[in-house]
Amino acid sequence: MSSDRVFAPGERLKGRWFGRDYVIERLLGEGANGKVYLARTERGRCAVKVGFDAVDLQSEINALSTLFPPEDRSPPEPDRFGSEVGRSGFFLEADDFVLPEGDVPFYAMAYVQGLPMQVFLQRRGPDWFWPIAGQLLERLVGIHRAGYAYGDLKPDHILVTADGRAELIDFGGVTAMGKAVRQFTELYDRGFWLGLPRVADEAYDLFSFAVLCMQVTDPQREWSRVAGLPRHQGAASLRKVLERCRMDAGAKSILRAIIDGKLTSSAAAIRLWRDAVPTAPQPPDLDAEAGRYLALALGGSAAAFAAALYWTLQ
Amino acid sequence: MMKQILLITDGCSNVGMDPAAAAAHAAVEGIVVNVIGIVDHGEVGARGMREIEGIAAAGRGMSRIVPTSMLSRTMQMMTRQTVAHTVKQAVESELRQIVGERTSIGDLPPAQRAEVVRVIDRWSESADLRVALLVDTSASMRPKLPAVQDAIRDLLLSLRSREGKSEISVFHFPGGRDGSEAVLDAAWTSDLEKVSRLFYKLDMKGATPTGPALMTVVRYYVSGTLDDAARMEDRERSQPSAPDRVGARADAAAQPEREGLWDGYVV
Repeated sequence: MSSDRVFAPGERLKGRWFGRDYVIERLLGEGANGKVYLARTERGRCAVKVGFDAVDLQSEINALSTLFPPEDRSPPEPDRFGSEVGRSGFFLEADDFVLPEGDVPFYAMAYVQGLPMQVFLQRRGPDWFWPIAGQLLERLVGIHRAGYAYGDLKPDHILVTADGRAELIDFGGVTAMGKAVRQFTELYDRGFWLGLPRVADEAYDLFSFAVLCMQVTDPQREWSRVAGLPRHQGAASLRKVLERCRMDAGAKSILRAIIDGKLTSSAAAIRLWRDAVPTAPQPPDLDAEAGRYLALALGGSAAAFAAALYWTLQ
Repeated sequence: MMKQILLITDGCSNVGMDPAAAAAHAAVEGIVVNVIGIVDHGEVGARGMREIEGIAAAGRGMSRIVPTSMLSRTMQMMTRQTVAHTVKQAVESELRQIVGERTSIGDLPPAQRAEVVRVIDRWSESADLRVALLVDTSASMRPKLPAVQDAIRDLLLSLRSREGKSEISVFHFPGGRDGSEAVLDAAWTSDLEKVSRLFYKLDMKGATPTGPALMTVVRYYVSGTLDDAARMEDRERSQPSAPDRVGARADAAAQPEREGLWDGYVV
């Protein structure tokens, strides 16, 4: 009952245990332990993750049903399909697709239409960094309250909707507190950078959060090469990168505290993050602004130049 | 106690017994043998490929050919999946006795499946685990050894994060009295310091005695100490055709591959 079978658009599938019909629309992407499709049900669209392995997928389903318990789901069960994540909960149902060659396990989740975090920030600008990062912290607080760590926090696992809502979309790394982290990516892993244990705790997720915040605000985009660097470089090298990141001083001091292991609670982190709301005008990052000026001036766009000038003077 | 051997090599054996037969010895002792072939330039070759797959099949484990940059995550993925697979097999065999023939976990209704997988996860996390690393240090492997050492340390870092007691030991080959054995670099330990200085005093001879080296590690597992292992080896040499005494070989070769689990793992 494991499968790496690919479903074709238009393929009709039926859930074995709950009987719901699904029509595959297209492949959305491939997670670490399964493929994710966009599918249509009679109630609306949803995303469907088809697992490679029944046991592995069930572990993820177990975590999801704890994070999104049925009693918290409103409106009631059948109407949640096709609706937005925010008010309906992310996890919809788990079942097996009936296939001639054997059943294949899957679960259905809300379909999040959005851009990966780093793409969103590139398109919509650095003003969005603070609120999006703040939402991520809120999501982490929720997961931590339920007794889990998220595990594999990275930009690829975050989609930002057109109205600026950040959603976590892959729960394959979710691990009960105190256990060995189920899935991680070296770049965001405190074991890789600091040689610290890969045990699921709040600080593990906060460390990944700090690295991803740096990655999406670092003007020198050399992060693809980091994986080739030696392990256990220590906090100092991360602090150096943090200095050049395009974010205000308040956010920087919070991330520095996380890197140094002084801030280990997500609830405390979200409080500090809210207190550190950048005051308008924003951002006060002069270097970045100077860079933008120069680019605009050289580009010869007088109108844009005037607008940027106005904005800075405001 | 779960027992694994992880063989890291970049080519074919050329001395001594068939390494697949040695892996079959390990399987009989309840030790799973996984194999990683490291290849940075070119290919491992059809013969090398067959040998690596053959060792893993006989050792009831998995095999994978990867570049050095993928070594660390592959080691962790293999170790972890082998633990999960071992637990799953044990649970499924129990299930068969309770529920009947041909019951796999995927056949259970959702509620029971959720409960059974919760048990599997708990067991995988809390079981005691030993992994013996056996590293080919023949000439072509030399440039890769710093990366291997790094990856071993990182593996131990992950294993130390488990609830269950986890230990590794490290061997390299060729070495020993006549260059045909595995040499112990680090005895069973969970101490990161003990695995930070590996692979000194390497044998400069060119042979790759993968089979005999695997046997040294199996004996170390069984007898507990290296001295005993060495003594056992002397006894072994006086006995003819050791591989023939193993009945599990054909059985192990018939074991279906578990490639499907592979790609789905990000570490």
